[in-house]
Amino acid sequence: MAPVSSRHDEVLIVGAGFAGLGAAVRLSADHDVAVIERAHDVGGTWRDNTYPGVACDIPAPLYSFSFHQSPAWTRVFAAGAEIQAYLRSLAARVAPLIELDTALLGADWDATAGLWRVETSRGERTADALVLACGRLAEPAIPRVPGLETFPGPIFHSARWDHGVELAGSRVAVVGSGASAVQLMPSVVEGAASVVQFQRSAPYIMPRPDHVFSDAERRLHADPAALDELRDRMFWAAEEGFAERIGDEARVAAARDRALAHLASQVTDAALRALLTPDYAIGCKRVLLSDDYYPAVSRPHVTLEPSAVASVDGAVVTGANGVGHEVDVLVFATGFRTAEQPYAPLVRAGGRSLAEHWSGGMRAYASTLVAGFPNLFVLDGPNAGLGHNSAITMIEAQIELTRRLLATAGVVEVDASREDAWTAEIDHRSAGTVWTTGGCESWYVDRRTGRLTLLWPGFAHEFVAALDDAACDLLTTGVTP
Amino acid sequence: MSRVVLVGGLGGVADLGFLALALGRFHEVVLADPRDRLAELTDADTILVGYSLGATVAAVHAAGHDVAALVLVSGWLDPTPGLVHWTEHAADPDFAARTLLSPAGWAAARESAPAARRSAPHHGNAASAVHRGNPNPGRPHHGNAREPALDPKLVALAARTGVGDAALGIRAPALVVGASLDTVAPLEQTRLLAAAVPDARYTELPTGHAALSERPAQVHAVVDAFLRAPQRHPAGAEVAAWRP
Repeated sequence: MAPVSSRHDEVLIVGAGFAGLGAAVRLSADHDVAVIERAHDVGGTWRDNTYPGVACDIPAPLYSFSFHQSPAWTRVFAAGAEIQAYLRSLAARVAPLIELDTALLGADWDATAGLWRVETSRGERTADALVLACGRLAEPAIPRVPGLETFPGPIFHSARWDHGVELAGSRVAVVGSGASAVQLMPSVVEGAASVVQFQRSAPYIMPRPDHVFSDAERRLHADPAALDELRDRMFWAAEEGFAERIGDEARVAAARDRALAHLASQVTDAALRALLTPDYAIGCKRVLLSDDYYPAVSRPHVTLEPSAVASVDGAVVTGANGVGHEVDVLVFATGFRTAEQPYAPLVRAGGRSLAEHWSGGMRAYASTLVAGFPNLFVLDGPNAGLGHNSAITMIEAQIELTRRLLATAGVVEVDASREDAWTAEIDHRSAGTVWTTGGCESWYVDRRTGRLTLLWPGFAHEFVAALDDAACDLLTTGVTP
Repeated sequence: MSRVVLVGGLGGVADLGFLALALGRFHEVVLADPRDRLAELTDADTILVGYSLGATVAAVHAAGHDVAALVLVSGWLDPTPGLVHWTEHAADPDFAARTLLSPAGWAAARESAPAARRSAPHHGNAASAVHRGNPNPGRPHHGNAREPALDPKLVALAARTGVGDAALGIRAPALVVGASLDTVAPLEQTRLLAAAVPDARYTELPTGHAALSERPAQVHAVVDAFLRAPQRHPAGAEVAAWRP
């Protein structure tokens, strides 16, 4: 196809985080590829989240691509900076393809020319295929709190940590009790004069079986076969954890007992322990791993306020329970906008935006291909997340599907019946699971419809197999309906 | 929703919990003991899965009755001196535990279980425990390998029973799953079983004999992949286990 504007690529990837970089490495072997990234650096989530204590809850050797394994991990649960270094080494393989400081402003499918017309903050361009690798934990969610603008001190979100703010000696409010809050609290309480943490609902927290890899282990990991075996062991062990999500009462009870025993062993104060005891089924929200959060929140200068933040009046932050706290710094560890992704309104085909197509919740065939949006591949989008195992396995399966479909001639498009069948399968799988019946509010579920749209309700290996089946099927029947 | 009949080994149905849970989401699962009468549980649309001695029982059944698909995990074609030796010492729980698991599996099991539980006798796997429909199998794994409650009659049966020439009569598409570190059913016997069944493909996992204790999720993965398209790989194929 002849270029129709000054800049044309066979494949344009939006986003230079885990998914975008992995896609660039795999797809650039066979295609002209460009990657646009709105920020000034690669890394996505691991670039944005630099709060003290940031780390991954999945073992590092497994939290990486099979085609780019690293023998350099220093411990089982790598710190954020180590993962960011890994992503830089991945980016180095495709450095000439990456255009930083280039934001997606719009993308329209030109059915006549059979290509995507893309508007970016640095001009217009075209591409045969568009790969959305925009992540799902990219847009910080900050609750609309009345009076927030009257707060005189520093305010920031955990994913936009302000390292210029001195917390030592300050009175700090931390809003939230999810994964980020639990990781950052131990560092924050260390030097602060006082800390108040606002918690809407208590998380389940398990012991964190971390360890620093010994020199001998690291030398062993330099052997690709040994590293491969380690990944294999870690993956299948993690897969067993999914049994706790599908109604095996004995396993669910055992997991709950483990978490509550961890709480009891670390928190002796009965009143505090009651506040930290979750009131919903384990697994409904992400289960966290920490050995130092409970001790941190037990410190005498730390207050756990079992309440959302209701208002701010000057330096006084008041919970929905009416209790006010005067603080110097306000930290929002309140997660991300997940159900309605900010890229969705920007991408259009046939006079319709992705946001419109997804008004009932995100959906896509094989979690990747959207009916009515030709040559569009959404990575890390609908039902591609995972609570019990490595998200990178899921991303890699989507990249592999994309690679196989792009290898064929012709426009890749799925019809609505495929998307409907996939969505029905998701709904069938999630009916009766802890995510839809566990009595919690989680970012896995689209609040507009109550549908599970962010999480894959199955084993990771089933996702890999299902995408393999989808590729085989599409390649047999033809990629254009 | 098709029916899957899972036939356990010397540990009875207790070995089958994880597989039953995973398959039970999309199939009607029936748990069977090697002594159960499979003819009463299966028909031509049944998927039959056997583990260890249960693989022998399942294969012999499938040689005489049509089933839709057959999976044989950690099975053998003919009893060997090694298997006989194992059955002679199987009443010793320490011996059984060490020999059923791979070294890595043994280490993991010891790490995850309090020492006190290791010598406790295993119970609850009643002789003819058959659950129909979607089972709720309780806490199935790790316990068995360490704490086998072995019925001497079953042990004796295992020591003298193989599939043998009956394998030739199996018409169903079959998957044979071997374990590379199996010291109870030597790998050669599992591979001979795969070679003897006319329409069988073969996959190997890096576990000891107790594959359902060590890698229950991976056993489910290979079974699930096979059931999605039993004849995707031709008879005689060696199918590499998918790796993350």
